[in-house]
This record gives sequence, C-alpha cells and structure tokens, in this order.
Amino acid sequence: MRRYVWMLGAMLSSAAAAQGTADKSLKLTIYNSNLALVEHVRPLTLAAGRHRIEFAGVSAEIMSQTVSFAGSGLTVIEQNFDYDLLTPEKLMEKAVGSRVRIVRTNPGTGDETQETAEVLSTVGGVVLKIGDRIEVLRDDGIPARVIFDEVPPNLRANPTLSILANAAAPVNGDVTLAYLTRGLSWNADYVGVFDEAQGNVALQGWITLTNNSGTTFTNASAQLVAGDINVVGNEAEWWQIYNFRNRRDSNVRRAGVETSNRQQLADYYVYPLEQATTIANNQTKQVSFLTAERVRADRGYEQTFYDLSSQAEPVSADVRVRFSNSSASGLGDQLPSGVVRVYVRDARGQPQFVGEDRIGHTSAGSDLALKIGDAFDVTIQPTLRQTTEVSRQRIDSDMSYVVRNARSQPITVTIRQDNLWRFNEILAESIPGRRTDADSFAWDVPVPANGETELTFTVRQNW
Amino acid sequence: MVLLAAALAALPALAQDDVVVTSPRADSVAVTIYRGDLALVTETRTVDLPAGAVTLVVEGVVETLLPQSAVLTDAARPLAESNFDFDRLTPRTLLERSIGETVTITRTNAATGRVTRTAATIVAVGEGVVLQTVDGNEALYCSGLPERLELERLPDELVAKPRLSVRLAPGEPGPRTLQVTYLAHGFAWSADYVAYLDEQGSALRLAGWATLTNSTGAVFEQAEVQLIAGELNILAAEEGGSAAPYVDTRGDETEVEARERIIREEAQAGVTMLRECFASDEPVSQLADRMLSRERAVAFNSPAPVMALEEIVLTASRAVREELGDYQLYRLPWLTDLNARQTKQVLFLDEPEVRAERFYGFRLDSLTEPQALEVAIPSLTLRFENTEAFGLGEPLPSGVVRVFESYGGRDVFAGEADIGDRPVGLPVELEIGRALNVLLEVTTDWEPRGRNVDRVLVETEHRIVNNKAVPIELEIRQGAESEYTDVKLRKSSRPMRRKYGDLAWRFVVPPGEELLRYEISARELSY
Repeated sequence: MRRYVWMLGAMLSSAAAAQGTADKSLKLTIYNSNLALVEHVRPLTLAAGRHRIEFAGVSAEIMSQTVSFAGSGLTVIEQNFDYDLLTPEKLMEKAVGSRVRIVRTNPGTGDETQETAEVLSTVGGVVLKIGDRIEVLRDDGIPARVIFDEVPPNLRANPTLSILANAAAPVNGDVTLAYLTRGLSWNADYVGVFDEAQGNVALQGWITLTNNSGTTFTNASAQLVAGDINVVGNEAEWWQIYNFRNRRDSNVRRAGVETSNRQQLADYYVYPLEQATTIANNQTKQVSFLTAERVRADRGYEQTFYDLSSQAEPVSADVRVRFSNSSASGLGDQLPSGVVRVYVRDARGQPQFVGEDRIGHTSAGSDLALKIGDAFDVTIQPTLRQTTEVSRQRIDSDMSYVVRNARSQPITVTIRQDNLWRFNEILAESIPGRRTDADSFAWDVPVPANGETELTFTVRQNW
Repeated sequence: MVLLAAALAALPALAQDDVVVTSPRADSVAVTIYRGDLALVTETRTVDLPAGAVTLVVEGVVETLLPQSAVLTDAARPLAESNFDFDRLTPRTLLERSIGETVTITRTNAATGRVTRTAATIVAVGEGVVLQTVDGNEALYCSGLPERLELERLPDELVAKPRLSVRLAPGEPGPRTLQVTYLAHGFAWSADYVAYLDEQGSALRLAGWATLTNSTGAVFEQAEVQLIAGELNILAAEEGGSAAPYVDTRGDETEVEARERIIREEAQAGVTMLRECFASDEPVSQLADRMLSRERAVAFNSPAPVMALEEIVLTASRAVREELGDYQLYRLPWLTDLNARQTKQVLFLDEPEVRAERFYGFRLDSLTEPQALEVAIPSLTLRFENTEAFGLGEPLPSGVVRVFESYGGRDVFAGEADIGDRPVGLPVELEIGRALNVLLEVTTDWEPRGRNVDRVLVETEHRIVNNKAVPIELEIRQGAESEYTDVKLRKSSRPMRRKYGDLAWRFVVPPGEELLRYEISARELSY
C-alpha cells in the first residue's frame, strides 16, 4: 500500500511537499502561430530551506528555456524539465548497476523460479549478472518476467517541470509559473451565407482553438492575439508566402484604414474569451467572436490571362464574392486571418457549401474579393488571331476573348491581360479597358443572358 | 482511493456546472456530396432544453467531420462555445486514460494451464506499458507469457463515437428543432456518360450516371441526397482549408485505406504491437509464438478491419437538376439509404435523341518542323451541339463519355473520352479513337524568302487516303509556334476557315485519294 501511495504521487507529480498541484488561476495567451503563453498561479506552503518543487499539468510541449518562476521569498537555484518518460525500456536502462528480479517459467513443468540479478548493460540486449553467472536476458527463449523494485524518481508518466528553490523563510503564498508552449494555436474560421438576390452576406466569425499540447488546460482564462508574431525558426510556411506575397490575384482589393474598437496589444489585436474555459487535449473548440447579419456583397466573375495564346478548351471564369469590412457596408471590424467558407441557399432554402478562400489579417475598411470556385456556366475562349512584327522588337498582337454566359441573367466578366512586359500599349479595343499596372490591362465585359460577347484588342509590345 | 478520485475529478468534464442534454441521433439528415472527397451533412435534431445554461451533446456525427466547419443553429439560444471531442476509444487511449487505475492482469501458464490473476496499477503508457503489482514494477506484454489485461471501467472522457458538444446560453425552455451542419471527408461522386450512336452516326442517345461513394463508416437512413457539379475553391488542409489532409499511400492502397491504416497503427502504438522488449534478440520462432500469445492477450477489440466497398446500388429514376449559385445541383427526388462503404449509381441525364456528327480530325502542331511519322492517322471525333434545338441543352458535369456504336444490330464499344464541365451552348467534341483505313501523308517544304532571312514560305501538301467504302468528313488544322508572326495563307487548294486560332479546312473525302495543298508565309520573331 505504501507503494501505491507513492505511485499516485508520481502520477500527480506534485511538489515534494505534496502541495501546489492545482492551479489557483490559469491564464493563456494564444497566438495564431502554434504558440501560447501559459501562466499558472498555484498556492504553496514550504518550510525555510532548499526545496524541489514539481509542477504537474504543465504543457508537454513546453519550451523549457522560456520558463519563468516567481514566488515571494523564493530564490531559484535550478530548473529542470524532465522528458524522461517512463517506459519499460527506460526502466531497464535506469536499472543498470542495480538489482532486478527475474521470474522464469519452465516451459515443461510450468514451475516458476525467481532469481535476483544485477543489470550490467542494456545496449543491444540486456546483460545480467545472476550470482556468479553472466547471462543475456531471454537468450534461451524461455518466458521471463522482469520485476523492478523501484521506479527511479526522474522517470515519469508525464513530462514534469521541477524547480530547485531556496526559501529564506517559511513560504505560505502563491507562486507564478509562466512559459511559452507549442501545440496550442488558434485560427479564425468564417461562415458566410451569401444571398445574391438581397445583395448581402451574413457573416459569422469563429475562433477555432486547437490543443495538441498533450495537456488539458482546466478552467483557463484565455485571450487570443491576432497578428503574425515573428518567431525564429517558425517563419511563414510556403503557402503563406505563396498566398500573401507572391500571388498576384490576391483577394484583398484595397487595404482598409479604419480602426476597430477591439482591444489592442502593441501592433496586434486581442480577443479575450468572456468565460473561463477548459481546453481538453486533442479538442477543437470554437467560440463565436463576430456576427454581422447583413454585409453588402455581390458576386463577380474574373479571369486573368498571363499570356497571349489560343486555347481549344475554354477557361471557366473565377467566381468571387465581394464585400468590404468597412462600417459603411455593415461590418466595421478587422478580420483575423482564417478561412471563409461560403454558403448559398438552394431552391429549398437549405444552405449549401459553395467554396472557400483564405484571408490574411485584414484591417477594417478593406475591400475583399474571395474566390469561391469556377463558374460552371461562364467560360472564356482565348484566341490569338494575328501577330505582326511591326519593326525589330516591336510586335502587335490581335487578341480575342469570347465570353459565353449560359446563365439566365446578364453578367459582367472582368478579364485581365497580365504579363505584357514593359512598354506596351493598347492600339485598339472593342470595349474600353483600363490599365491596372505597368504590365497589365483589364476590361469589364458585359455579357447578355444566354449569350456571348467577344472582347478584341490589339496590343503593341516592345522589348 | 480518495486521492485517486480527486485526481480524476480534476480531469475535464464536459462543462463545469451546466445541465447536459444529449441528442443521440438525428431525426433526418441531408447529404450534399461534392466531387472531390467532401460532403456537407445537414442534420435535423429535436431536443428538449431547460431554461438555464446547457451543454448539448450531439452524438452520432460522422467520424470524418471537419470540426472548424461545424455550425449549430438555434436562433433562440446564443451559443457560448462549441467543442468537438473525438478521443477515439482505442487500445492505446484506453490505457493512457487509465493511468493510476487498478486493473487485473491474467497470466496463463502454458505448461500447466494454471491461471494467475494479479491486481496491478497502470503506472505509465508510452513506448510500452509499465504496471505496478504486489511484486514490484513490470512491463506489460514483455514476459513472453500469454497476458491479458482487464479494466474495470471505461475512462469517463473516452468516447467510442465522435461527438460535438455546444454550450448554449440560458433562454426559453422547451422542445425545439435544431440544425447541425458540417463538412466531412470520405464522400465523393463522379459523372459517367454512355452515348449510343445510331447506325448513320447522326444521332445519339446520351445517358449520364452519377456514381456516389460513401467510404466512411457512417450510415444515413432515408437521407436527402444532393450532388454538386462544378469546381469549388477548396484549400489544402495545411492552409486550414477543407481538403482532406495529405496521406502517404502504400502499394495499391487507396487514400481511404491509408487513413484507416494510420488510425489502426496509432491505436496500437506501443501497447499492443509486437515490441522487442528490453532489446533482446529473440529467436524468430519465439517471436511468432509471442505474437500469437499477444494477440490472445488483447482483451479489447481492435478497430474494424478495412472492408472493401462492398455494395453497389443502381437506381433507375432520375436526379433532378437545379442551379446553385454558379454550380449545378442534382437532387435525388426520393429519400435514400446511404450505407457505410456503399457505392450508388443514379441517372441524372437521359436524352434520347441528340443530333451528332462524326468526323476525322488532324492537327499539324508545327509550321516548319516535319511530322515525326511518315504517315499520320487522324482521330475519330464525335461532335454535338449542346442546345435544346439539337436535342440536348443540359449542363454536362466533367466525366468520361463512353461511346457505343450500333453495328449489325448490336452495340459495339467505339471508344471513350474525357470532358470538362460543359455549360449549355458550348459544343462538345470527343476524340474517341483513331481512324481505321484513313491515312494522311504530310509533306512540308519551307525556305527563307526575300532579302530578310527571318521570313519563311511554307508549302504543305496533305495526301489523304480513304480506304473505307463510304465518304468521310475530314478536318485538318494547321497550328504555328509562337515565334512566328504575320502568319498568312497565301494559296490554298480548298477554302479555309479558322478554328481555335488555327487555320482549318473541312471537306469530304470520298473513297480513294484526295489532296490538300496550301502555302503559308510567316516571319520569325527577332529577339
């Protein structure tokens, strides 16, 4: 029974003095880059002198180099984070030099014999010294149980943080333990129900918290920080770079300049959760943070072409849902980075998923154009009709885009011709267009219901 | 024991003080299946809620649920938070959550058959399990003896089935109907077309079949089923999107099978799989014996073995189409059972008489490069207009078209071709095979022309041999590389029209030989 009680002690990994296991308060600040700041406050009673204080229930993904410990009257001598998890293998390794018991069962008679052995080595097989003999464990193929009298105190069922501290006088108060951890992260997820007839989108924002830290955080007061914190070795993923830096068809059409009334922390926004919450390990938790019933929105068709060429297969136009997060359009809030899932109601009024797009941290007042998919009924057929070299390194291209609309409403499709190199000019065009940047032009092509419109233009390129 | 109880109480319950209401199953369910491994599940559930704050536990949701897509709507009761808990009940999680619990270990002496039952406590579960018995500390499944572990109870927070739990704020009490919607993986559909061409080759009967697959373990009884055609923007799982996470497949494994294998491996990692305890180098025969005893020792069920898609159901009634935003939605107009690992086929298109034409097509890709082969074989192409006037006028979701020709009163497979999503009004051309008994001989001759060496004049001759007994329609297209500008037809033995930016000729070739000759001038671009 003594052992049993000891075992529980190991399980809770409580302080040497068996106290300070439960949090008096637990605060979490979670960033959206797989990082969180955890702050435990625990009561502690200690006599004067040197103590080893063990903290159970800390994150298994703790970045131990970031631990800070504070308690009045306590001086930290050293802190350890024990990763040595208790496994049969480790148990044997730690038993080198000490004694274990070997129980062998005779396969013929079934008789059990017990012997005491000293573990000499565990490298590539367990070498034992039994009496005067040296043996390799189970070299004979006979079933053998190994019994260990003790579990070394630094082998644990869970990763544990221990602090060696000196108390100048008896301590009876709270200690604070703070550290950064991986495995806790959050993302925004948005649900947008788009109603084309009403010209609006009902937008709901959810904070999605994921906990893969290996630890359950009980009754925590949590706040979430939106913004890309620079963490060395945790630089943006390839897709973030691809999406937000190099992608030319970005979904932000105009960055906003409005200030929202959310709480700010340095250059980041903070979303505190109203109630204390328990974040279980392997749990995905969602908390609502934004509801806007009617945000003015419309649908647009677009396509960008990066060269001048003919194609036998027509290209579908991108479908984009466009709205602004300005106060004027009914939202007036910044949007932390996340995925927007767009729904449209079917003939029976049931919302159906129609596609998704990712937005970056978007300041209030920005114009967004989310790509939700390819239009089934709106296609564009490019034909390079003629090219003429007017002089050396100067070429005129005669381009045609036939835009077809199989829908029963008239639409407008924006065609952008990109990648035209420097020194380009439009010599003729069937629909007035506009220059969008140094090497691109755009045309808004109106297409009648169940009909088609041909956009033609001649572009002169010099190089 | 008091200490133990306190420790367990500190583990998370669903919510602190709320009343818990459980909804074990949906009253009705609608499933919308997308083409690429995704479905939207809409469940209608009736619950009786008290006035105070309540935690509603939604059970029986699909295992492959995408937590961040789950939405529960109840206008009357604002949602405080929503949790998706899926700590799968597996040998590993069972032992992990039972650390500190008392278990019974049963050992059978292989020689005498004597059974020993010993009380033990689970100390640690990592790469292997450490137990504490009256004798001391031991490793589970390491003795080489048949061992069986028995647990007294299931840990509280382990759920055999995934569940969604939502905390609702206080509000009006009473029964109400709620909708739970979420996206899930493991569902897909694809379109397959069958075209029966009549003897004259001038009309076809076009049937479209939707093949829908449920590769999950979920069973939907009397469900509303919809299919969506169109290319949705779906982001990768790494981006936080809804696409199914990437999985490494082995051998002939499908992605679904690979996912199931990974779940199985994780479920047993370190607790039931054969490990070489204490790195002892055991003789092979012993390994086999031990494996056998290990299998016997596992007292809990392993996850179900992978089952092949076993049931294919064919229905003959037609799905009904409606427009959904910029996509097409096909609704099964009847309620249907969608069983676990089932494939169903539904007719979504059946047009008895679509006017069609057959012709032979050939494209010369290069202006000046000679043909790689001395003799070219044109491809057999089937073309139809997708308009009501021609007997069709229906959107065609992308898929494979298989063409059957009537020959001597029997249908003969004539070939197949892929089509992309085709809206109404866009003609469909299918290259279903290579011509038999129709050959082309192409001779190209080109020379620099004039004072500028970058000007070329290309003379091309096509000699066409039709060894069939009937005349054929032939279409020849001439492409040009992008380095040529000022491409102009100077002479042609037949009238030319343009197609897809190419120069094109279309004419009838009676049995025997025909010629097409033309001259093109062009200029090579100077860089």
